Amino acid sequence: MPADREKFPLPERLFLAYTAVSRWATSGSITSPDSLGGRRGCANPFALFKILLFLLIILLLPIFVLPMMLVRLVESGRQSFRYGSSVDITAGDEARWGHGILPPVPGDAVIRSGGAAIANGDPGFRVTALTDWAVAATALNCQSLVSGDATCTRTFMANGLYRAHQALLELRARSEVSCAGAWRAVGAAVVGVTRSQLVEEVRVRVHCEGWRIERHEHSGLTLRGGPEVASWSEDLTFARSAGAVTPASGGLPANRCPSCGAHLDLDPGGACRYCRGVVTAGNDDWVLVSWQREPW
Amino acid sequence: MVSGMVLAAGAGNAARSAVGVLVVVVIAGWALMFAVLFGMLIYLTVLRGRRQSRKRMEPAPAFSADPNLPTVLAQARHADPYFDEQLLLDASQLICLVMFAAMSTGDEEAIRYLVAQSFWSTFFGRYTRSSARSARLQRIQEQGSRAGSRRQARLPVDYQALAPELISLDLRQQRACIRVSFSQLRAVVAPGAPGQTAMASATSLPSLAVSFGGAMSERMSNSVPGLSWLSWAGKYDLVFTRPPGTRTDPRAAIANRTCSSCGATYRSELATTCAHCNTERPVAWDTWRLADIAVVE
Repeated sequence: MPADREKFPLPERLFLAYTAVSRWATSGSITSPDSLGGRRGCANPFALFKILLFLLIILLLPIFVLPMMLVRLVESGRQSFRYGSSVDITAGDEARWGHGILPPVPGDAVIRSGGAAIANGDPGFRVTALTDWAVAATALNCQSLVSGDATCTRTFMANGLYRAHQALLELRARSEVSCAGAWRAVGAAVVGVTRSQLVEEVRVRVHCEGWRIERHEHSGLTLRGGPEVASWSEDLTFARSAGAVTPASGGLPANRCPSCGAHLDLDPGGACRYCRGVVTAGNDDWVLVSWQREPW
Repeated sequence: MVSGMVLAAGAGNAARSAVGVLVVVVIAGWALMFAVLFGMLIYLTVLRGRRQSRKRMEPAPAFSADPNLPTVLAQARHADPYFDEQLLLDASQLICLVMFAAMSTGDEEAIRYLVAQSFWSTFFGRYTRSSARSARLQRIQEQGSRAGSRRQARLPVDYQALAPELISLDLRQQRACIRVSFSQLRAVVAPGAPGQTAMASATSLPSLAVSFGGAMSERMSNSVPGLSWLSWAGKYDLVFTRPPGTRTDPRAAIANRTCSSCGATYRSELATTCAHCNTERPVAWDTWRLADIAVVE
């Protein structure tokens, strides 16, 4: 429902009425005359009326704001404060530089033993297939962020991640947040292998080089980044169901349908156009389930 | 003439009493408003500070998934042949993003379509609704401002999540629990933005007072819009439910991609109806709906 047609509760309508009157009272410069040759400032009776009205509504502010505050307080209840305090909110530089911190890398032995455990159940498993794929995926991730369209990531993102990524790009576009830049992966290495009863996960850290800049189009403010060349890391986590094995065709990393082996051609739902199998669910082959970018 | 003077004196007294009452109401209103505002802020700040110090003293224990999950899943597939936990994992990823959308832009439509009615009586339901309403109120205020004078904005900039994990499944109660871990980043563009955002995360009374003072002085001096950041990160358990006796319809996931009425492909992940014929869009994960969210301490 468009916001301007929405019927807000009475206390909030009171608050909206208050802001509308205050906006009117402060509109226009009181130091300039109404018309050519007209009187300025307090000598202008209309401007004087607006000043008095503005002072009066400032005085009456609690009458308009208190009902909304009290209703919201009653609605939220005491329990909400306990929950509210448990939500981890950070602000300022701490928020910017704390968002997306990549997890530490475990020792080589841990990674090797994890890889060996997967290879035990799947002789076709090759770590290099995933690192090469991560490098190729980085170029497409860059393309999707710059163009604001996630379609190019459909062939490697799991359904959930793809939908969330598409939704984020839409959300950014609605808020006039844009991204420009050009970057590429200059190296990739496996930094984590985990297995549970249900899934196998391989985390690949990609080292990127290039430039990127994020702007708010309406205000012209640069939010993050700049035109200078920089380097940073991103973690791409691939996962598949425990018990899945690498298809003979090489599967998604080799640009083949893991189900029928045909050249990869997917519909927007992640289903192969030849065999109709939904191949990006992670049941048959590796898919990207998480993409973390270092703070920037 | 005497009666006229008495009447005039009576009217004067009445006017003085009315003004007196108004003055009392205004003073009491201001006092109550500050008491409520500061009371809330102080209570929240003290709770937040206590929680942080408790967290430093005793780190939270790690919870793990139900060890019987493979067996439970096999039983679930036997009872409901098209049941696919992957759909719930997909749902959890999109729902967290859609909540972020509702809080940032005020657009609640997409989240309404994915949650159970009972969700709105939980803390996160109330929190989402209240944040979304505040965002819409702010948008209305900005729409009414003079053209080009929009000086305040909260921008959804980034959202990153780890792979969701199935924690438990109970098909008898038609209830599944998915653990998610995410971090969302919002940019705040406004005069006094650093002070505003610092208030939202203050953990002590002095820091609250300093940030409040900073934000107010910047606003009063009508300075140029500044830039600051707010992030919300955490680990949460999402509880999904569906009506008793329900079985998975295998067509649901496919029906969610193209309109069953006119055949058009849905272009927007936030859309709840077809852009061409306005037919309601089916939910990809069939009848499962988000019922509750619990913080993983």
